[in-house]
Amino acid sequence: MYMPKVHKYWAVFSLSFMQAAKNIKVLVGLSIFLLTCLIIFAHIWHVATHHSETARYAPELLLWYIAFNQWVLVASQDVNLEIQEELQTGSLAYSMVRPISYLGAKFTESFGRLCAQLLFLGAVTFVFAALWTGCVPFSAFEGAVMLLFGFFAGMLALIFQMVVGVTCFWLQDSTPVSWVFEKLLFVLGGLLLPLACYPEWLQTVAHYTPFSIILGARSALVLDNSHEQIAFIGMAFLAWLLVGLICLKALFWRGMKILTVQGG
Amino acid sequence: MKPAILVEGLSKAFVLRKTAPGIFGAFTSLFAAHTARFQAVESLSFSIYPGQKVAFIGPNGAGKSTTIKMLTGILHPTAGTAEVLGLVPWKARTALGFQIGTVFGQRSQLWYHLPSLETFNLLAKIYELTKSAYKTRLDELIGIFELEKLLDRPVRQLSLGERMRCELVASLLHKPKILFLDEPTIGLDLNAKMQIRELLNRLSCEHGTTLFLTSHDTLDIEKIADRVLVLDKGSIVLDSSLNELKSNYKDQAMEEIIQDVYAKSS
Repeated sequence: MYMPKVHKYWAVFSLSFMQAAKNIKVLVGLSIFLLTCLIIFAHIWHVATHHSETARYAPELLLWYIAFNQWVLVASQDVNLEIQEELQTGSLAYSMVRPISYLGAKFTESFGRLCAQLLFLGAVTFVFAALWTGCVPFSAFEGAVMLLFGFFAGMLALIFQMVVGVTCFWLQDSTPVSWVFEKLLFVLGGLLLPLACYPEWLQTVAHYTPFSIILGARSALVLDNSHEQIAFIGMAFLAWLLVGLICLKALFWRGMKILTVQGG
Repeated sequence: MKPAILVEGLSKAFVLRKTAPGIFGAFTSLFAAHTARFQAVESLSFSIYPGQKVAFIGPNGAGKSTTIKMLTGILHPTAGTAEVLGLVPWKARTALGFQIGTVFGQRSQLWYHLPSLETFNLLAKIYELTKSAYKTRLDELIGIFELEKLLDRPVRQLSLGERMRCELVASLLHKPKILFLDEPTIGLDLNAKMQIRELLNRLSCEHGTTLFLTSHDTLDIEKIADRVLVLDKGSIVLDSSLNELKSNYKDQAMEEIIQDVYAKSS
């Protein structure tokens, strides 16, 4: 069955994926950055696990935890800045002339690029982690689930970054919101430290935000990959994806009113 | 004949937020914002018939881009109405999108790192063209715009003139009945400008495409347009055929003619 609407978004996704895959310099640059982070953390964890709350986890497991976090974090792009630029330069307004939704095209374009980066960086990250630690602490099935969740996490991060970008309709500059979002992601997402090592009240706060699902709670499947935990993370993804999409659609709709009536 | 573009009493006003100068001014404006109404376009009325080549010109800030944005459905007017190919642009933007093409000289719709052919393939999907219709149309446009040798080169490796030819093809793939061109020759060298002008004329002649062109280059107007609409301070101050305009200002260069029209209007 020919579905032109689906085909056009698929075409945007494919083209974006191809452009990102051909941009080898960026992929190599991101890989070097990611490996540098992992090597530093590998050394930090080696020392820290002997002197802190994290002593309950083996340094090898913690490196895998960090690898899953950094993989998604480094692959995610600042799509909010792209939206901001397109709004400020008028490109967003001019793109409305084409029979394709801006929001849908932006999402599929960014997701295409994200997928290319996740695939490339995933290969680099997990080969490095396996070689460095000398172990793979999960079964093939668990690994496949965690990889799939990595793509979901990237998608969720992308949606919330787009929400941040859309705030430009009101703020003109989304950098402050982006800064706050990023710091909350680092802290409540458990970027450096598994959420289980946080004070209990902070764990509770983190569990009620999308940040832990994007990073820490998902990566913690390395530490606890029970089926209940996998099911919980899967449900949380769906719930937060829904919340993110509703927020994005509602804010964009309000923003477009400003653009079409007040001229931006 | 039914007009391709029909505009009646079209107006657009913006409410601008004013901030007093200095840190104190910026601070006080947080609590007591001053606003001012700016009339960008005031009661425009004109009609354009299929196949016409209209130059829509005026000084910076005259309201040209605002008008184009309303005619393509990007902006909603404050008052008045417009019909483009029988559709009200701001109510039927998507449907209209299938029937019009746009070229904005300072904005690219081509994917920078990929060959232009990839963008054309994408646009064929966006405009929901069938494979056979797309292939026929692309072959035709490649012939007209002489793109055979450019199709496989990444856009970043193209010269500005070559890129603009690709931009035009990208805007014409879906056979638009009207082509809106906002400064299509900006930044191009003389040869590239001449080539683009020739191609636009050929397009209009062979396919009857209506051209709606804005440009600050008077040669664009002379070489492409057959009708001139001059806009100043949001209102039309001259609506004339090019031949009529030239005969009224014998022996004068187009630049002088336009200057004179602006002077008379103010």
